[in-house]
Amino acid sequence: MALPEREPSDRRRIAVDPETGARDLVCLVLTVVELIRELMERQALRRVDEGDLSDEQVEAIGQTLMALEQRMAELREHFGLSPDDLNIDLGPLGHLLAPEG
Amino acid sequence: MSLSSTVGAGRPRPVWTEDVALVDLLDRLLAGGVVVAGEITLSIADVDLVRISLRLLIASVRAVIGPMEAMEGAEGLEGGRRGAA
Amino acid sequence: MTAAACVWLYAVVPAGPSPGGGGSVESALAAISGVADEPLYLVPGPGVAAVAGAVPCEDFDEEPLRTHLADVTWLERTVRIHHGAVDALVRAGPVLPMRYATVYREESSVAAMLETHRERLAAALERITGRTEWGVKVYLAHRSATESDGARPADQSSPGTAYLLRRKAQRDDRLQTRQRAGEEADRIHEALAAAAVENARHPLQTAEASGRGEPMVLNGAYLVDDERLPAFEKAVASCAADHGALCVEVTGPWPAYSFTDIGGLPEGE
Repeated sequence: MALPEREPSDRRRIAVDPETGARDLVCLVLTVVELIRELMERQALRRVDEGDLSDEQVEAIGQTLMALEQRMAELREHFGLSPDDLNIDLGPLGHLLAPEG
Repeated sequence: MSLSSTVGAGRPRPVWTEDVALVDLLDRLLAGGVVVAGEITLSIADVDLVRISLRLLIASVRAVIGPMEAMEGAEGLEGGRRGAA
Repeated sequence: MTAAACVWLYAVVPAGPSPGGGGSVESALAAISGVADEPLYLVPGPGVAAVAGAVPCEDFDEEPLRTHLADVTWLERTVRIHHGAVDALVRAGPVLPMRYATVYREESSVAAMLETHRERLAAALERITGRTEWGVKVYLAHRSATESDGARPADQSSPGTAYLLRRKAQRDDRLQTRQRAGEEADRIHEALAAAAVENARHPLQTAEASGRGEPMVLNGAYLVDDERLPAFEKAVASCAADHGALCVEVTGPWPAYSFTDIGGLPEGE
């Protein structure tokens, strides 16, 4: 599992156990990316509903989101993570990503 | 496990359970029961919620805490600020 | 008493001899231990009595109690003990449960409280006499297939648009399912409320709380006349049969926790 080189400042923030710490970091990052992807998709669908996008814009946004989803799936697979693994547990506040989006 | 949605194998039936789940207890004991102006009457809302590291917290707590606070509470995301979900 | 003792209240019961049947309150109390492993006793009042236990102030006064309540293990243990005590008393007659964590510093304050609220307590006891609370939770039966591809677009000339439209269809479908489920839940609640004397709706439990993958759509509580329980059971069975897309789960019997508002009817959700 090849992980990107980390800056010295990053190393200070990683948890004590490098194995799980690195994996946790990957989970965290991918969860954030997934959250952004979901927000972007939601926003795009809203704009589609409102009908204020040209056909070209819809196509461009759709392709971008499609590519993003594809890339996310590849990254998850690369790190051996299932969709359920990507979620930040906020303790009593539940999880960051809603189960049904 | 739900026995109730066996569609096609007869009409779905309700599940009657005698298990006393903690969540169901909390629904009743923390929000129900007689409330009098006692000398020390603490409701769960009085307690510092962030210190309750429950995986089983009742939904009413989540309704109280807004989405922005939820995101700011996540550990390790010092640099990150995201829009409200 | 050498160490300072506070008083934890469990319930209010009618004073005087218990109605026939399940034995006396006193004998029920003899078999119960409280949240601090203490024996329970009655604090007498006019027409009613409070079920109480002497608990150490070092754990149960306001500050230490606040700290303990933030400890999930302590919370769960004492919640279950409190419920166990209240539940054991039901066999001996009507029981009006107190809110969990109602603590007094002096027994005389308990007696004063009983005096102050004597009429409302008596009325609340009357309201739940011969009645039992039942909980009904309703979930979506299974997650809808959100990953259905729908129709593969025949037209590959605008795949981005097709993708967005597909996602939109999936999302609309999800929302529609949730909305329909919510409407069905309302109908179920109405049907069950009709078979009960009183009803209440608790907040829906999150997936983390319920431990279920499917979303909850109803978290109802129903105060049912014991004599009319068969009719209530029938109503529950009908609801389950008529709503195949939903799971109906019943909990109980409960002491009447959700119907103890001595100031009026409890507001649900």
